[in-house]
Amino acid sequence: MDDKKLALKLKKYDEKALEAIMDKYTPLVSTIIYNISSGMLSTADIEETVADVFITLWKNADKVDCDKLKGYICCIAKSKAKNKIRDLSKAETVDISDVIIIDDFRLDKHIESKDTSKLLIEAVNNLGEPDNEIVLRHYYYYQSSTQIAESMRLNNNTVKSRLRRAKEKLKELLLKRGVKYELT
Amino acid sequence: MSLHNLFDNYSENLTFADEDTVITDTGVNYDNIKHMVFNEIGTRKNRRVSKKIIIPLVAIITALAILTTTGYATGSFEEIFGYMFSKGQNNNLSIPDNVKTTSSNSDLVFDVLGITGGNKTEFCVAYKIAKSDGSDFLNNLNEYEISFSEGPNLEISSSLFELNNNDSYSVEQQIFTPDNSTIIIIQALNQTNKAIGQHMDVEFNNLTFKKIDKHLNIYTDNDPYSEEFDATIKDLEKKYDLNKNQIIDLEYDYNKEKYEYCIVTQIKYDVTLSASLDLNYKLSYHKLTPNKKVVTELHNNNKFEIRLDNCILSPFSIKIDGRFEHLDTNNSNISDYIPLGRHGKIIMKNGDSYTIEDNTSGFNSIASDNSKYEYHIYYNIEFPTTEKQPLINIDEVKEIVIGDITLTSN
Repeated sequence: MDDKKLALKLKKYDEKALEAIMDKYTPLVSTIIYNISSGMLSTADIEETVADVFITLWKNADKVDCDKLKGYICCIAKSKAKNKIRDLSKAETVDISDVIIIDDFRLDKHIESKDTSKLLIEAVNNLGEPDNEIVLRHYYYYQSSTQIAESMRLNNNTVKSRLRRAKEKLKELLLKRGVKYELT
Repeated sequence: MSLHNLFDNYSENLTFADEDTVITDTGVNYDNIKHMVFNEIGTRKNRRVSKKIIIPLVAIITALAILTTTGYATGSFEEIFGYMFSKGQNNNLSIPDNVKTTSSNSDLVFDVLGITGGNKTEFCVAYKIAKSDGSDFLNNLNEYEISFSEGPNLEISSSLFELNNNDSYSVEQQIFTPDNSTIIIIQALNQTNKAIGQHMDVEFNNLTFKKIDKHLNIYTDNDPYSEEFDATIKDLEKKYDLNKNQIIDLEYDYNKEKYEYCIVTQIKYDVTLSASLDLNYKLSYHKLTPNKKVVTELHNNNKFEIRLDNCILSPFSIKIDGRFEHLDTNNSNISDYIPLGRHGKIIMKNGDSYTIEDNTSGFNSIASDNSKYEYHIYYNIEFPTTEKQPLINIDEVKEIVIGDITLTSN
């Protein structure tokens, strides 16, 4: 079943739909959380965070755009992963200086940033192959340069340099469209 | 905003690469995750209703059964629950105000038992559905799933659970029907951010009960929502001689990780059940002596004794939250709350007593006054929660009648 049908059923709080979504997206969600955690979360923590993602999806089911199910799930996953790291850092004094903290997941916030998202993906697409894929792997899926190099069969240093150049180009493209961001 | 943040807010679906290219072996156990999710949302897979919620519900049903069989069913729900529940962290249950219920089907009686749950926006309302003539609601069918469509102001998080008519109760079965299933509790989690103190109207429509009659050992890899699935069902319906209440349905087999076709008995009630209630937690405080006030003179006595006589359920634990209300009966005003300190959890059974002793100056200063006071000690009751320890053994309590929890001074 495609995502749209699943999302429609999810909006009606169909448990089987939620189960089907979990079957489909648990590997992806686990990967995103695993990559973001960079070893800071135990397997049990990751499992708990993945579960939290789908619980949040269920509680926000009525707000899900049926055409963007996967995107929403990924958004929730990133938010939950960072919140989990933040929570643990409070208790265990983990250095998370390089981790970006965002507030609790709110679908309405993401809907508000729709225009920015559109500009962003246009800019990424303008990077061309393989830079667009490298950027998405790194910034969307939180893959390390090593992971990207392995997956795309590229040299690690090549990935790093392409990523750096792509970031600069992306900044330029986005600035032209009025979007400012820090180059991190 | 950083570039990472920009991408975090990106909620469009990505199609640049197959997911397989980014998925790594994270070592997580998918079954664990599934268990956590369905346990949390309280749906039919795994644990359908959390123990924190179901324990009071089980106690309620048991109490109703006892009251029915012992002829004490004349008391109001508030009186009944007053003996059993007080405000707790999670397992409190209080009676909503201004409850009005209607049923479009005169064969069915609909009522609101109470509110339980944790906070101002997430709580559970327990409803009762019964046949108006007291007959067996489930027609001797076991292991039901119950489902219903919700009304406009209610989102039901736990619409499905199993019932078993024959066993008394176990945690795994989640629900207990003491008098041959004439009572059903529907747990519905209100997720509409209704704050306590507000009014809530709810409506249930079209109750359906299902029971698996026969596993057909026919499994499908097909998507359960696909057209192929519908076609197969039609073929099976022709193949098997089904009676008017039977249908072909799917049940997920976790071992095989496939859906299995089953013959299912389905009973539908075309009914609309409506309830109107005010959400008010004030009644979650139940007095230690809910029906009679204990008036006593302390006169420098700094001890209280709590004695449990003729309790409905025994044994159970009682947790004293460490304070009592001080009511000056001369002035008829509640003048103070006096801390008694934390006494923690005390396991008590019928006939047991527990003495509260306190030497704080506040306590003694009141005790030295010659006025008469009413002392209302607030308490929580908790039931055993481990699966090995039965929550309630019906055989132990069948001869016990509703009685007092008395508070006396030494």
